[in-house]
Formats: sequence, C-alpha cells, structure tokens
Amino acid sequence: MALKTEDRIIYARSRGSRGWELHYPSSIHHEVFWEEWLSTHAPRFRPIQMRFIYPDFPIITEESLKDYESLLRGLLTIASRDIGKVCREYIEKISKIEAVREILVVEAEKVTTVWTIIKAPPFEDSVREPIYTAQLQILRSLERAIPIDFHILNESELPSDEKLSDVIPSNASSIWRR
Amino acid sequence: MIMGDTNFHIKKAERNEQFFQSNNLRASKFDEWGVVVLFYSAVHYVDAVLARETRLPPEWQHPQEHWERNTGVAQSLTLGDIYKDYKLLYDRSLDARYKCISFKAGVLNNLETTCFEPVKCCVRTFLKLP
Repeated sequence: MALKTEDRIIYARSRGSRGWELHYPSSIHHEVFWEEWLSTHAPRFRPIQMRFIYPDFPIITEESLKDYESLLRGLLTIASRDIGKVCREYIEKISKIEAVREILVVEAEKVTTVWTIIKAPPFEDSVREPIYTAQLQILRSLERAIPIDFHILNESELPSDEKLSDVIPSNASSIWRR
Repeated sequence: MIMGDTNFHIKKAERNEQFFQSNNLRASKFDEWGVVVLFYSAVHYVDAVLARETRLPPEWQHPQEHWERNTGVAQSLTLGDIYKDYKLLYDRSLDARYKCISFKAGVLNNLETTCFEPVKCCVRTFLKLP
C-alpha cells in the first residue's frame, strides 16, 4: 500500500454513476492516498490526491478506506455543516437590506454557490455594496477553506422575455425569501 | 519560484489589458467580452499578489478555482480593500458569460474606472510597478 503523508490539496473524483466530486482544500491536517492504491481498492471512486483537513474527522485508516463511500459521505456532512453556518450568518447580515429578495443555494460538484437575488434599478451597483461587505466579513473570518462562493443577480437586468427561473440552476434551493 | 509566479501573472494581466486596448473593446458592440477580458486581467493581477502572501494556506495563495481566489482576496491584507471592486467584476463577468443581460451604454467604462483600475492600482502599488 502506498500511503504517504504529504502536503497536498484534496482532490477526490467520482468515476461512478453518481458523478459527484469533492475538492476540500485547507491546511490543518492531512493524509495523502495515492491514485494507484485507491484505484485498485475503490474502483468506483478515483481520488487523485486527498488531504483530510477537518480536525474533527476521524483518522483515516486502511480499514475505513474499505468503506470508502461512507468516508466520503462523512466528509460531505462536515462540509455541509460549515456551509450551513456560513449561510445562516449571511442571511442574518443581508436579509435586512431592502433590495435583497431571495437567497438560494446551488450545490455543484466542487462548490456550493449562494445566489443573492436583488431587485434594484439596472446597473445601480451601489445597492450591492452592503452585500459585498457582508461577504467580505464572512470570508475574512474563515479559519479554514470552505468550498462556498457568492453571486449576486439583479432580476431587473434580465431581458423582459427571460424569467428568473430560466437563469437560476434547476437544483437551486431557496433558503430565504422576503 | 514565488517571484516567478508573480511575474507570470503580471505578464498575463498586462497581455489581457493589451487585448482590451488593441481591439478597442471599450467601443465594441460586443461589450460583454470587454467585461470578460477586464475580469481575467484582474484575476491575474490578484493572483500576482496572492502568490506573495506566504501567510495564506497554499490553496488561497495559488488558487485553482474562483471560490478559492475570492476567499484569498478577502483574507489578503493587501487585497481585502479591493474585494468589492474585484467581486463586482467577477459577478459582471458571470452575467456576461452565462446570462442574456445586455450591458447598457457606459457600464463597461464604469467597470473599468471604478473596479478594474482600483484593482490594478492596488496590485501595481504593492509590487512597486509603474
């Protein structure tokens, strides 16, 4: 078994029908498992480089790798908890801003994107300032990398024949609405 | 190596700017591409500074994804002040690439003046470049 401890970025990619991918870089703790070993032992998933960074996540052993799927699920749970905390803080900060209409979350393979829908005169960018301030405060306070991104969309800027639902990914979940 | 990274990113940022100027994107009817080019020039400008931020974890110092870079900009002592400018360029480049939003006259110039120039100025001042 080629198990090495080395400072690498986590990069785990699913090859199976579930088709999801993890990418959780940070800098707290790490274990690296090499592609050759895992491609033999866990054929449905093919991590290229992995570094397990969450201090509260159990130490990875050869035994736990046999149930690799649960291992990845565990990582997702911890990441979801962090993302949930960031979302709650974001809602608390920006829901009082008059222009903010809705906040949605879109989970993709590598990153969760928080969409902020605003209603303001087209290209009136000063409306976005307090929202960017909230994002800055949240991102500055992070002590480890959390795969989260923010995007603001002004619905007044969409063409008259285009609806918000045409633009927002179909898997978006609304987490706050005015 | 870090110095090399910084030089590489500055060259790429300047090259994108040259593309913007030489194709007169400011006056082009394809102004959404002007937004995209300005944004990618800004990407390389911030990467040039992040490459020097040795106190940051490697994934923020050498970001591979936009979310890593956005967090890196927010966490950077040098770049934190231009987070809002950089982030508006980022959002507008997403609008330009993925949505049917037509930028009204003056938006590109406004982005160049109020977002791109502050990012560029912050980076070049930090790196002591003319």
